[in-house]
Amino acid sequence: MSELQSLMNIFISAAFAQNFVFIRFLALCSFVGMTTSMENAIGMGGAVTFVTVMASILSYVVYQFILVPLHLEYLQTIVFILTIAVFVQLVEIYLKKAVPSLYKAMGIYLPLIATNCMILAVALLNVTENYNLLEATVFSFGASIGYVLALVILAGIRERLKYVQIPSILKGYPIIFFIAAFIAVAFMGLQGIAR
Amino acid sequence: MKNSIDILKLGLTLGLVCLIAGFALSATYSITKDKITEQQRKALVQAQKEIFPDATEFKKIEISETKVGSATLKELYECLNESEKLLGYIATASTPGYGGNIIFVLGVNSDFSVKGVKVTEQTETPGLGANIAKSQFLEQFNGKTLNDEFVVKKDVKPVTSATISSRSITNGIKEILNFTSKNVKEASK
Amino acid sequence: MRNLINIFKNGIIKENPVLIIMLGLCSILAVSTSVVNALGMTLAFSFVLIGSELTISLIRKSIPKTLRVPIFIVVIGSFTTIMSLLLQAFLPDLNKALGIFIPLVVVNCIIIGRVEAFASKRSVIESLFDALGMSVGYGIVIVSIGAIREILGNGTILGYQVFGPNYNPALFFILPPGAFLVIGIEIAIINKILAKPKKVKQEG
Repeated sequence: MSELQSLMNIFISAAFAQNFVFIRFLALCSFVGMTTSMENAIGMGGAVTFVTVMASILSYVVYQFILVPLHLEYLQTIVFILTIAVFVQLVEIYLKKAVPSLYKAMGIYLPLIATNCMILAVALLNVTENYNLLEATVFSFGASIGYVLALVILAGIRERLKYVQIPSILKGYPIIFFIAAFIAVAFMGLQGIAR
Repeated sequence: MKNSIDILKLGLTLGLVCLIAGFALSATYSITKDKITEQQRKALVQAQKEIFPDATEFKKIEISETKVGSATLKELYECLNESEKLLGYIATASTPGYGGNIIFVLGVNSDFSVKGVKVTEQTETPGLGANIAKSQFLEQFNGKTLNDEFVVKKDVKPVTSATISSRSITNGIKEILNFTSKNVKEASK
Repeated sequence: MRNLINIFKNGIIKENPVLIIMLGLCSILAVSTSVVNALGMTLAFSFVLIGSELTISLIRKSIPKTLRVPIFIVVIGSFTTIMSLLLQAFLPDLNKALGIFIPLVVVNCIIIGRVEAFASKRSVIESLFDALGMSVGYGIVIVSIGAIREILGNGTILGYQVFGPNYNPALFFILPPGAFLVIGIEIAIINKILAKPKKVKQEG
């Protein structure tokens, strides 16, 4: 398997076959909370993609050049989450000064991103899967695309749900989970495509 | 003036918290470190004992982790009995499966036929692919040699509805068996 | 004392972190493939929640406002790492079963949420009861989902066969879609119960 093929494999696996929302059960809080409109979904998706890829690279560098040489691998969880939190904070500060319109538009998204379990999970998986820097970057990008896909699909459906009669006990979260169950079935069917 | 004192106070407070946390963490780490290594070896040691019950010594062969086709060879051991006779070899390896990496232990006889296979870690689909870890499936590899094809549905009976997982482990076994037989001739005395 | 019991019950019913406030979903769905795993996850989660709430409550008066979040992260992260090391050393099978969700406890919104909303403002003993209540609330949900998924999807409970050898398990429930379905049903049932006239719900 050539290098490029192997990278493609990593990407497709992360985005589809092992989709982070429907198969790995990550980022569910934002999946449920940020899909009330397509705008929110795309906004959150874009923000998370940026933070995931950048924070993964940062975490990778910190791990390889600081934790490993000092035999402090067991601190990876705490160091990664701090790295992510600091990075999100920096992004927030930068946006506030440089692009205030975007900062205002994103509002509550920004601090919420730090608690997105997918970002930490990607950073940790890069370590356990022994990826090199390039593979890690492709992996985080793939994971993010899968996440955006998940959000967009659900937001699209939820926008249409507004025009439909839903039984009262199903209103709100139950119907969302049922829909997610069906989408998960579809994604399970995609599981064989990477290999 | 006041500002810099404030910042200093903040820095010190944070530093203190991190210091205490760091102390607690390194203390826990040093207490658990050896137990953790022991646990990680446990699965391997158990698999070794099950595959070569007559072996009394497992001598590690010094080789680094090597990629063999799509599988990765991690460790290689010589299996000796009390009279120092070479019974065979044990290889630990991983191979990509359907849901993640499959970690397995391959026992190889001194004539390079398969002595036994044990799967120590897998994240295949429970109830389907996960059944490749069961002895009913793995037993069929015993006695196979490099003259066999190692092809699912031909000389290997797959786990029902789990062809991909079955193929993955079959491939992994074949590649590691191949590698072992090619390389230990040089490695042992 | 009355107050403490109320705080405890709060975490189980009125402000059940999962079914009412909708937090901590990821671990609930991913780990509930069997009762054993669900119980193990509850154990791991409770350790970190109780430890974090107690610690933060203890030092709450000395936390400068601007350092709130970093200190929360350091404390929660430390407890998570300690819990992880202890599991690796003494319960390796559980460690393998829970996998990546062990370190992910650090970003479990329930813990950060409770520490911010409660422990940083209330006394140590109150925080203890809050943590206990929330842990039980969390545990009830994850174990109930785990039980349903294990019984229907595997035909067993806690590893013991329930239906006898001829039962063909509905694997669907152990797989991802099953998880979404079961939690959807549970929330629907809760909605139905909550929709009953207020008078009936008032007591307890």
